[in-house]
Amino acid sequence: MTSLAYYSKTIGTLAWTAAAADHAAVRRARELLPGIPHLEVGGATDLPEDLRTPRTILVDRPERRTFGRCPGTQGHLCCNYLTVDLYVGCTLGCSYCIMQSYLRDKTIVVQVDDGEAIEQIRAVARLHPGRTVRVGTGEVGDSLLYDPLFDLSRPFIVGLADLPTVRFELKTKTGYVDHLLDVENPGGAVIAFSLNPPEVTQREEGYAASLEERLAAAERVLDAGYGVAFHFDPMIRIERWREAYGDIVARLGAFRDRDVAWISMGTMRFPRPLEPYLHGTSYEAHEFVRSRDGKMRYLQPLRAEMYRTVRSALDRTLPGVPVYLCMESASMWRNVYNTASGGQLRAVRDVLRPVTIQDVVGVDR
Amino acid sequence: MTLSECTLESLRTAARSDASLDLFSATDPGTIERVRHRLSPFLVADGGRRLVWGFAVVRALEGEPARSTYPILSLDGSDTDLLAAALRMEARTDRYTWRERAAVVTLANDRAIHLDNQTTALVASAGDVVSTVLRFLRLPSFLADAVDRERIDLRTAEFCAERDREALAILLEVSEPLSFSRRKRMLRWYCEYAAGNELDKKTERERARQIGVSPQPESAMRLLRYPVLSALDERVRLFTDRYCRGTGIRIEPPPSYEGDEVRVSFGFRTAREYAVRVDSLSRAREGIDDLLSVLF
Repeated sequence: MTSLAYYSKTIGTLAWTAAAADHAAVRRARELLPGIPHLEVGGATDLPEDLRTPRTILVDRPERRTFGRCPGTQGHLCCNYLTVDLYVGCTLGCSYCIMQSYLRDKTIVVQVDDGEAIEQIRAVARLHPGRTVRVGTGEVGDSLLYDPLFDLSRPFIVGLADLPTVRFELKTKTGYVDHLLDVENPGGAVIAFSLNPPEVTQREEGYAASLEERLAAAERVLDAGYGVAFHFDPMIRIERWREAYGDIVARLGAFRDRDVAWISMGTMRFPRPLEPYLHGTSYEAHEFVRSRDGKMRYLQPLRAEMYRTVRSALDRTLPGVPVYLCMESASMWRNVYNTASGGQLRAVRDVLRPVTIQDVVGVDR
Repeated sequence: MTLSECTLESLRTAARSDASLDLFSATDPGTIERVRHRLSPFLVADGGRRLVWGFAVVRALEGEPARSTYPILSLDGSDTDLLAAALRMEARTDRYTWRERAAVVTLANDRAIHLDNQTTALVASAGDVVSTVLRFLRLPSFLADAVDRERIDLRTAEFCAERDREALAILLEVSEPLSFSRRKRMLRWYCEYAAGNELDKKTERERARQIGVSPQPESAMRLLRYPVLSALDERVRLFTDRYCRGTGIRIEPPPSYEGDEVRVSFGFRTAREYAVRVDSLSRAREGIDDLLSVLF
C-alpha cells in the first residue's frame, strides 16, 4: 500500500496546535491530504474528546525537545541508543507491540522540531570526537510511517550529514523511503528495517510492509547513499523458525559488501500486564517465563538457541557486520558470543559504547 | 414512608404483582428468611399493591402458621428509589452472587430503571456492576454457572469461552480440589495450549480426558503447556535425586533458568559432616555438565 493510500485509510482528522500552525510540516500534510478533515486547537489538551483516537494525528511543537536515551531494561545490557521522539504512536497494529496497550485509543502525536534536537546531537558528537553517536527516532513510533506526510527526518539527515561519527537511524516496518531518496548527501544516516519471516509479518504485523517490500526499500536507500541496518526483533519461535529466519539471512546475502551498519537480534518479550493481549496470536502458547527484569521472555535455552543460530548464519552471510543483542542479559551475551572473534567483538563494542549526554543537553542516564 | 401492618395474603398478592421487584427469587428460603419477618418489616409501594422487598420471606412463610398481620414499610418514590431501598434492606453489598447481580441489572433494563452509581454501589462497592454483568450474561451458560458458583473468575471464564464445553467440564471437575488461583491457572494453561495448537473439538476432548485420568491433572496440564520448562525441571530433579538425595546438599538453578550460575548450598556441624558433603559434591561432578546444560 502506498503511503497516501495508507493515510486515506487510517487518518480521520488532521489536527495541529496553535504553536505548530506555522510549521512547514503542517502545510505539507494539508497539501498532501486536502480531503481529510482538519482543525487547529489551542494546545494538545484542547483536542475534543471524540477525536482522541488513533485516527487523529495531532501536530504539536513541544516546549522542550524530548531527547534522551533508550530506556533499556534493568539488569540487561543496553545498546546505548539516543532517542528523539518525532512520532509518538503507531497505527500499524503489530500484535506484539507494547504500544498496543499503552498507546491504545490515543492520538498519534507528531512533534515538530526547529533544529534544537539537531544542535543537541551535534554538541554530543563534538564532545566525543571519534566515537560513534547512535541516535534515532523509532523508540515510540515508526520512524517512517508518517514521514512522507510531514518530512521531519530530512532536516536531521541533512543537518547531521557533515558529522561522520553520527549515525542517525530511522527504524521502520514500512517501505516508505522514497521521499528521502533525493537527499544529496545522507552522511551517516542509517535506515533500519525490522525483519521477520513472511508468516509472522502477515499474521502479526498488521499494516506493515511485506518482507519483500522492506528489502526492496533497503536496496533503494543503499543506492541513494544511505547506510542500512536490520533488526531481527522480535524474533518469534514459530514452528519452522530455523528455516524461516535462515531464509531471511540468505536473502541478506544480497547486501554483502554494502553499507550495512549493524544488525540486532531480540526475541519476543513483553511486560506481564500485556499477557491478555497475546490471546489469539500465533505465539499465545509459546513458553514465556519471567526474566530478571520482570519481563516475560522465551526460556533462556530457547532464546540462546535462536540467537546462536541466526548469529552464526549472519556471520557467514555478512562477515564484519556488527551483530548485537537487544535487551539481553550479560550471561546471554557471554553464551552467544563465546565463539566470536576479536574483530567481531570490537565491531559490536563500537556500536554499544555509550556516549555522555547529560553535560550537553541536561539529560541524565 | 409509613410503618404499618398488613395480612400475609395481602403480601402474597403484592408479591404476584407484575410491577413488584422480585430480584432474588433464586435465594433459598432458609432459616434466616423464616425468622427475618420477625425482625424486619416488608417493603411495599403503591399503597401495598407492590412488594418491594421480602419475597424470599413470603416464600419462606409457606406452610408456617400465619400471624394475623405483618409489619410493612410503605414507600414512595421512583423505581430507582425503590430498588435502592430493596438493596439497602437486603444489605449484602459485595456478597451477591453473579446471577443476583445479573437479576438487578436485567430488572433495571426491563423496567427502564436508571441505575445510578449510588444504587450499583449497594450491589458491589468497587468496579462497574453493569458492564461486568453484561460480560457475565454473554458467557455460555455452563461457564456462567462456574462463575456464579465462584469456581472461576469472570475473566478466566471469558478466556475459556471459545473452548469445547465437554473438555472444560472435565477440567472444571478435576480442578475442583485445587485452590481458586491454581484452578484458574490450570484452565488458562489449557486454553492457551488448545488455542495455540489450534486443537479441534475432538482433540480437545481427548486431551481433557487424558488430563482427567492422570493421577496429577495439574502437573499433566503443565507438561502440555510448558513442555520445555517441564523437561528442564525433570532434568534438575533427576540430578538432585541421583547426587543430592540424603546428602544435605541443595542445588538451585537460577529462577526461571535465567542466568548462568547454579547455586550449591549445604550446612555442617562437624569436620566429618563437612568431609561427607564435599565427598558427595565430588561425586556430583560427573553430572555437572549435564546440569549446566539446562541453562543454555
